[in-house]
Amino acid sequence: MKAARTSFLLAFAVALLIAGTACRPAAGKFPAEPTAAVSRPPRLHPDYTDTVIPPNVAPLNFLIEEPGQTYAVRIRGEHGTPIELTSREVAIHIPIQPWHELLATNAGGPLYFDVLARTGAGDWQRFAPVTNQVACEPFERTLVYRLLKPLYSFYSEIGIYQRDLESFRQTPVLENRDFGDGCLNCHTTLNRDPNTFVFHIRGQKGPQPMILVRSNEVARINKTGGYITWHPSGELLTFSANKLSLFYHTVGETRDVFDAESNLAVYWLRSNVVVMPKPISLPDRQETWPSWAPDGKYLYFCAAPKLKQERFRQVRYDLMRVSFDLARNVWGEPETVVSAEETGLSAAQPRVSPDGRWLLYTLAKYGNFPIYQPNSDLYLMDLRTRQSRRLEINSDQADSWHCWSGNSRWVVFSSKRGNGVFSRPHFTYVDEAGTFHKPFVLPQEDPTFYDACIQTFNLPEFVAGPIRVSPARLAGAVVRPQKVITPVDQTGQKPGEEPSSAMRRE
Amino acid sequence: MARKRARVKGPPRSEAAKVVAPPELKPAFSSAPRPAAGAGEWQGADWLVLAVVLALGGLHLWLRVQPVLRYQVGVPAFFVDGPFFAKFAGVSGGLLQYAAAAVAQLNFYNALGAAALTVAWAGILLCARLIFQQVSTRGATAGALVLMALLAAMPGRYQGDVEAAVLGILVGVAAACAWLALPPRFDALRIFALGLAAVGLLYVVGTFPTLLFTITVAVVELAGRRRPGFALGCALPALVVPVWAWLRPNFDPLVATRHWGGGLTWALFAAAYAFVPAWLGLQAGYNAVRTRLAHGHGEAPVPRTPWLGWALEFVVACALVGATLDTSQRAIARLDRLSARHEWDQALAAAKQVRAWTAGARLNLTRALYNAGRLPEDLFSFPQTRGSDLLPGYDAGLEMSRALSRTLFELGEVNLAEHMAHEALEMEGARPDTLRLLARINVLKERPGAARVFLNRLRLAPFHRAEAEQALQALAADPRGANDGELSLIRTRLPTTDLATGRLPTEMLLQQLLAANRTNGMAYAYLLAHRLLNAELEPLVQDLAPLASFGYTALPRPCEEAVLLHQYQSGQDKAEWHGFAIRPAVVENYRRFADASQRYRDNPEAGRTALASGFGDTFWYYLVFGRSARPTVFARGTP
Repeated sequence: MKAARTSFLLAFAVALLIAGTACRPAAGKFPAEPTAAVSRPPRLHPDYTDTVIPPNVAPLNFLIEEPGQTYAVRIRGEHGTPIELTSREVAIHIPIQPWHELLATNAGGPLYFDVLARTGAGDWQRFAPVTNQVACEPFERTLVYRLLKPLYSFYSEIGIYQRDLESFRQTPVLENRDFGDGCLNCHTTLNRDPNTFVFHIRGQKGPQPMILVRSNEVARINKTGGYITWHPSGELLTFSANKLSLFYHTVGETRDVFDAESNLAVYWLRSNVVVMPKPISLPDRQETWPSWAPDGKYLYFCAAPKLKQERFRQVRYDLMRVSFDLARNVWGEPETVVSAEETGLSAAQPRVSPDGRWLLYTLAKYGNFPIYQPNSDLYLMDLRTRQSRRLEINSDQADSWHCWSGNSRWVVFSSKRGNGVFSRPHFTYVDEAGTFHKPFVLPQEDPTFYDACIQTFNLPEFVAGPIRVSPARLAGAVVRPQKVITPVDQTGQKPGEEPSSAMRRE
Repeated sequence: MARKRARVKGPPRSEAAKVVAPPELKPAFSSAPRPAAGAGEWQGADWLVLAVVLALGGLHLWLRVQPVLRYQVGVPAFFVDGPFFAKFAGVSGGLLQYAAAAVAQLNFYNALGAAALTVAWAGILLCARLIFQQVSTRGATAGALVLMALLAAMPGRYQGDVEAAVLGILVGVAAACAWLALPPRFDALRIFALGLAAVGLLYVVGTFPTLLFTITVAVVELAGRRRPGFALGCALPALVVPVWAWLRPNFDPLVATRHWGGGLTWALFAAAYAFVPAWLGLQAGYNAVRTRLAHGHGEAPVPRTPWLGWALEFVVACALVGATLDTSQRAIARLDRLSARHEWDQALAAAKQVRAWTAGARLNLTRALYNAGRLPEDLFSFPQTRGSDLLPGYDAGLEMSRALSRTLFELGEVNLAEHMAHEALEMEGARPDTLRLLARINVLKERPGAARVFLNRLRLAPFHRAEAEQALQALAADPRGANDGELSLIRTRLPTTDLATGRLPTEMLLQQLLAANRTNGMAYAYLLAHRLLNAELEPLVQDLAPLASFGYTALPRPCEEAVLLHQYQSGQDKAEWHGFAIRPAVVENYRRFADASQRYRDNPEAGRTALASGFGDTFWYYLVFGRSARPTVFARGTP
């Protein structure tokens, strides 16, 4: 009996071994002497060539798009132990620990991929090495984004997810199935802090709330707000109240959005008051896309004159900014930073780098929804010289939803490059001179992941670490909230007046 | 202490049980007494009856319900890749949904789908009968027969996630069987195991199988083994559901009911889940009555094979399955499937069986009529109702999105087809036909990269790998689809001007297509149909002017009828229109219709009924009564 059991266990172990071997076929040792050299580098998919990568990025697993029966890859830098891999498959999976060690020892230097392919005749071909640079500066460990299908009018499955950028682990922050199939959007953290963030829920009965997380406390705020931005002090949230309507074209890009009415509002968290300061809520202007400068002294936003929907192609937004004195609660006069009249284009999504040097924004032919416009491109303004330029990293498809890393060296953005329908998060290194280097797509464990992914990555945001609040708690704040805050709408605030005193006066 | 030990070792016998124990009462599988004399001879009959019923159920599913039609109307998305599985792994009941989606793919082939569900039914019947025997052998087979009828009725509704429900019930009753088969000792340990199993089941299969498991076990302990206290203990693990819902606000214990369809279908699903515990209760009640009667008469009745009862039950079961078979929905599914396969004449034959029309079915019908060369000729030969739009908007419900996207695609409105296909993708999931259509749309929109993504996704769907790989190869060789006949045709129909709107204004869209391509015959036929359905006489006669340029050699009959009416209304008396003759038979028919309708001027309802047989498929009837009616006698002249 015992012998039978031992035999069974042995057979089971052998079966497991065989199964494991079948999943990742090894192809012998790394070849010593290739017989032929190919003068060009190999075609890799995704395109991880001639780019700059952070020293803490997850392994750049890739496919070798070259004919061959067996492949060998050596990943090496100028220091450290090279990683040598052989495979009978075109997919190359790089072990995570040696990868991180290699990157750490080669930060600031080049990283080479030596790719060899064995042909049917048994000869090894060596391609010219693929070179990438490892930057000294890492990006944040976590990326938070929304995953959804390329939606039109209705949604069924939407979720906000977080991805550990040093590995391949993706976990849900909150999915709409957790709280009865509403819509989730506009997640934003305070200075990339995973413990302080806010997002907006739609499709609920009653007021469409914001969910606020601060110091592990989750609250439901009964106030509708889009494109939310934190003041760096954490004292207030600025958001836009939009009246968006979706419409469709019979030629060109199908979807389009018209904003019939929008204004900016400020929610003072401590005093629980919502105000609409006049400089950012002018009656004859449509203000949207608020974004605080990292020092909190300026609010950047976009504004356009009010036009009827029939003239949607003429709606072009200026990029504006307005000064703000937090201590005195005094707003300055709005000033135009990028004039639509001068560019002939419409601005959206301004984002100032954390070091205050650069302003990154999008320009499209018209309107304020760049993700639906293939012509939308990223532009950079040097805030010291006020000179703008179109970035060389733009594609022929929509490039938008950008976010700076805390060290101002990395930008993540959504790009529909390569397919025109599904946006994917791309990273680009920004050097001190403001040069944007060739972007690379968020690496996935399966290098073919994007080839069959019919979801779109929306609003990627760097976060310093993983969000710890569980989906259950966040869902609880929607369906069974323990803490509900209903802000006081205070529109009669006088310039310079504390919002709390304005509330008292009411 | 001695009492405690006694309780642990075996169930206490009540006094009544000691005096008159019904011969079929069985305390547990392992310690079940042998059947009483006379019972053994009908054990074989039980299995025979169940096997026959199961086989009939399988045949009904295979030949009448036809799994391929269920696949057509409601196949859930299923893909063989890690990210797809991950969506299910983290939620309560997710693994059951995943398994059900996998099993539902087998419906791609009629026989395979029928076999899969029949095997699951067999498992349920086997387990259910074993459970029923715990309370009484009497009624065990009868209960299984009724349960089979409920199970067989479910797929005939063509809605609801039948596979998930069947697998859920199977898991619930199988778990109950396994637990009841445990030796009846160590009660505390058994309760603990029950709790653990309930927690595990809640994660794997969700609320209802868990409740089925715990309640079934509790009812058997109460009714079969006469241990009320222990039964209560067995029922307690069912509280895992409300407790988990209280602890996890993101857990909706009733989420599965969203996939139970509506109305009668919902009731069938609920009845199937509740049946086993309910039947156990009935058996217990019946036993109690029999025991009391046995006390009165001093002897227990001798069990006999209840052939008559089974026969009656079988008839009732057949009646239930037959009555609940939704033949209209089946016809809609057939119409949808045949339209997707471009088998237009068969699609129109299927359309004749539709009784309750949906917006999607109407779209398929119109497309089939056009492609069979019978639009607008036979427009009113099928039920048409005033107010239903040829290209309906969201008011008609999102269920029609897929059918509408196919129509818009063929018309040439590729952007709007993309829009509706994406709505279908979102609301119905990534069905193979939606993925295929989106790939073709993106080829037309010169986005081969996006087309490749959709085809790569299709490649991961069971039974579609070869097709997807073939399409991928074709795409690699011909990224613009220049060598594809259908795409080349549609490319000639694409609009050249932009119409920016949030709605689907049928007439504007058709006019736009005709402005872009004066030879777009489909847009023209749809425009004529649109005019007829909206009874727009004046615009219709204007739009008939270029009829000959679209290859028509005669006025389509409804147009002929409309033109004739228009001529009478405008005081003209010509028997032709732009060179097309109006046939004397039509003129004569109109006279007869006018006379007849005059007779019913004061009683339109009676007129509607009386005229339906002779004029139900005429434009005049539609105009007067707001709907068409299928004529029983074709009184009109032949074209």
